[in-house]
Amino acid sequence: MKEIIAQINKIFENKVRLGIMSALMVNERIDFKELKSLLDITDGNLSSNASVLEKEKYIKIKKKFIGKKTSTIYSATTSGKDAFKVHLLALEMIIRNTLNK
Amino acid sequence: MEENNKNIESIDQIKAIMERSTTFVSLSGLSGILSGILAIIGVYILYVSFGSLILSDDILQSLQNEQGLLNKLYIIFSGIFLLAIMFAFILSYLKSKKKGQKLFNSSSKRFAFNLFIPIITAIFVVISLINHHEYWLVIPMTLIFYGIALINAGKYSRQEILDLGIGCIFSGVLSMYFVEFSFILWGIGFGILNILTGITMYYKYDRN
Repeated sequence: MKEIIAQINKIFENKVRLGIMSALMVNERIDFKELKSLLDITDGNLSSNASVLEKEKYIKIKKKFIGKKTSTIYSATTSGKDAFKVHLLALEMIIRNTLNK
Repeated sequence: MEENNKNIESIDQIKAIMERSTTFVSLSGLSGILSGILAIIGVYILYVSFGSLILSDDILQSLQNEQGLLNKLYIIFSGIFLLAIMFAFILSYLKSKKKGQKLFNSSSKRFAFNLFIPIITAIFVVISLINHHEYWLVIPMTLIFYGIALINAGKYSRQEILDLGIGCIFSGVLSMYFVEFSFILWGIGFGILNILTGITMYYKYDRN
């Protein structure tokens, strides 16, 4: 059980980061506005948590210029997707273990 | 146990976000009902134009010689097609506005893209069939391509859309082998099945 708990990724324990990763697992890329409304959070909350994920190289953040406006596009990296899958598996195992007890 | 509830909550949150970000939920059930009614009006127009619901060889033959009637039907059915799309667009726009969402997000764009590729292909196929006087294939092809479009796009929307797609393909294939029942099968696929799907979706998702 200890080994499984060790697989829980601290980075994903935050609700917003969990949400960002969930959305990026099933969408190739999402822009800032849409991600914000999907998760129903503030601008600052989204950017700060996204940059945590970027620092871990779990997601890529690209800024595009459309005329004068910038648009920020998020996408998950392969290592980010793998890390998230490990985290999901660990969650699942812990739940199963506790239910079997 | 406390810890476990938190984990289950996480899983629920993941599931909800994945679903919300990939499912086009604003598609209006009401628009399905309206396009079904339009299709039935279409079948009624065919009935009035030919005096029969059975598509006989005589009717197919007569179409070749009656350019006027053919043009009239061309215009009427193009109008029905455009009206159905307009209704779907406007009603879905109103529904998304009511929910405080944008109509154009990545799931609706994906839905529209996957829907319109087979539909635009169908337009070219149907025009070519008419130009080559292969009228009997027009009804099966519209049904089959509409079904393919729904199945293609339905992945990004509700299960009911996939079911409707299968129903339309089935009616389309049947109408290829039982050409005489084409008008009726077209009325079933575009009309009755569309209305039933629209009603199901309306009661399941739209009412509140």
